[in-house]
Amino acid sequence: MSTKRTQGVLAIVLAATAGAFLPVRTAVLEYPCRAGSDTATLALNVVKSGLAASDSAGSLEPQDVNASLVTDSVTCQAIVNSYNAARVGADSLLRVTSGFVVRAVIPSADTAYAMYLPATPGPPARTQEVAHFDKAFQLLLIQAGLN
Amino acid sequence: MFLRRQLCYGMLALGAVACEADRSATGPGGHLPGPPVFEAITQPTVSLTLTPTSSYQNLPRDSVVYYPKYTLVTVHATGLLQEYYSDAAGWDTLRGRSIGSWDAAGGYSQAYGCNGNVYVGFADPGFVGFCRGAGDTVKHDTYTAQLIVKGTGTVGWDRGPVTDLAFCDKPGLPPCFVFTGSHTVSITPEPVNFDVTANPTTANYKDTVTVTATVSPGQVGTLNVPWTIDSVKWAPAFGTQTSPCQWSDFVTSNPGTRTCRKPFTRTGTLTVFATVNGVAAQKALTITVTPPQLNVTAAPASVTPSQNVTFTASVTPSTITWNLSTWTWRPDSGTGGISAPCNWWEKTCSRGMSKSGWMRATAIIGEYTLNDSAHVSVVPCLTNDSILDDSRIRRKLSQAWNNSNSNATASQRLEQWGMRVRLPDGRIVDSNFTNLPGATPCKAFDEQLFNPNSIGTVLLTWHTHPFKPATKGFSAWIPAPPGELLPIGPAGCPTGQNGGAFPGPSDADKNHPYQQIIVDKTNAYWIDHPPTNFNQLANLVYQTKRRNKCDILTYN
Repeated sequence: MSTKRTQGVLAIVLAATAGAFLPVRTAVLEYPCRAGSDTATLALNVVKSGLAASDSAGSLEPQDVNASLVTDSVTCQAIVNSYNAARVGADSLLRVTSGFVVRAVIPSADTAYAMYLPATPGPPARTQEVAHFDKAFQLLLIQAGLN
Repeated sequence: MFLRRQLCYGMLALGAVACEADRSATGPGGHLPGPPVFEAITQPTVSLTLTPTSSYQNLPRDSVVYYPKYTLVTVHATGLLQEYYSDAAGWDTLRGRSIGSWDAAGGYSQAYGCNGNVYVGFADPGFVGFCRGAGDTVKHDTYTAQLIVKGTGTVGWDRGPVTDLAFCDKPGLPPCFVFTGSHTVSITPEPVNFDVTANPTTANYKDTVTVTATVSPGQVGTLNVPWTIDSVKWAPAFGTQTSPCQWSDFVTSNPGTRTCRKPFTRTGTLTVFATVNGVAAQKALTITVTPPQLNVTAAPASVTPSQNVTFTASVTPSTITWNLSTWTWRPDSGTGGISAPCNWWEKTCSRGMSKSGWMRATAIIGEYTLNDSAHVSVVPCLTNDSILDDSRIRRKLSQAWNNSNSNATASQRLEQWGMRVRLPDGRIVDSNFTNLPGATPCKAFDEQLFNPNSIGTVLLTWHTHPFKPATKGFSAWIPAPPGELLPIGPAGCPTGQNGGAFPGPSDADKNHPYQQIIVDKTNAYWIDHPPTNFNQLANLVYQTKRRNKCDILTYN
């Protein structure tokens, strides 16, 4: 079985699992890794700059962060699922089916993941968000952009 | 009567010019008086016809013209008479026969000299013409004389040819000869143009300007056109001032050109009054003088406390001699802030600084009192960025931050916004704007309700994000305290729970064409190269300045 086929099966399994978290109207299979040249570049830069600015030591620069856009749908789906799992109750309207998933490698630190969600006018309206995950895809925190 | 009325109007016009000049003496930047009204009074031209009919008939020398001042004129006498023997009996068979043509120079005899000739004369130089020379028998249709004359001009015809015949040209006897035809005499002053120019017309303070007065033509034949510069009037743009060029300062370069070379120190209108070929003439021109410029610099413009700043005063143009009058130090707050005052004799002054403020220099150069200032920023720490190290910006940022209620509960915090803007009148001001419409804890203002560009040209803006973003330790995130989570509901705030502040400008923040500083509790973000179009947003690079390393909200 090829790797690609394995990933496809996994994606279906994960997507089926994630269905519990999705709003009904979006409960369709979509590719969970968002792409698109301009926004993908923006996502990478937002995540790199945000991680650098969050460095408690104050020494990290954006160019120190090795970031790449994740195109592996298994990983993206895991990230999406993790994000949606945290969106419960009234927040369930904010669940997503895809996002710009970024894998970031910070020197002397663990690999991390972040999902960039651009602002959308809605409904439901969404401010720009960056959600951070650990290497096990556990959601750590959500950051919203202020205007 | 008509001429008199014209002169009166001319005098009224000249009077109006004087009034205008007085009113316009308002100081630097005032309007110049308008150009003087020029009343042209032309010299008279004469043309008359002489019709002598007999050799015994004088046409008296009548006054026909008057030139009060030396005037270069051309005198023409044209036309030939036809001479006949008269009916005097003594002519016998010659009676009535044609002799031939007779010109304006008449005849000549040893005994009587010129006779039967057109006479033109002036008070100065006297006889002008015309007189046949001895032995000259050629008849000419036209005689011309060019000369400089003055006073009353008389024209007549002296009888002739004069003979000793007994049967004619005596009382009671017929004339000896008769004539048909006529001579025409014209006296025409030479037309001469008068002009005054300056080079350059725009000069720096104390630059030498050459004022050139010219008449054209300067010469007619071998004669120089008579002209004099009678006076010069100078109407400076402000105040009063003796004319840099007096009438006596003009020197002759050639018969038609006189020049005055003098330094000019202020803008004004120079009017040269002259008498040109007997006629009063005047010409005005504007000379624009760029005032000297005093420039004060402070280097470096931003320092940490006790560091030295060198103040330098210089003047443009650099060729002039000048002295400073005073240095004046004015701290942005309180008093002091400089290790010792700068002295007037120090055009370069280096002092230790402990407060931000303005150093102002004053110099009096000629009629100009010049001022210029330079600002010095004293800040506890330097970022080596001229904007972020500007204490005026830091002060405004600090004020904006203090107005943000950054320690209140999340929903009571308020983003604050300010900008450096060039107002329509050219002034550049730094201003914070409180209570902007639509301001929330997560949004500085509603762009539908407030447009910064409506105030002027936006040069730089700043606003606050009054929250503490989470930080990332060596291996784990350190969440911001619960009180730092963003409120839900206000415009610009997240719609979901548990959202913290992102450390940096949002995508919406980035989408502006001006420089921006954004401050949160951890960092300042400096967009010094803003995008010029939407496509640049994705790759926009900005600087992050950690407040715990160098807080750009601090200043002295």
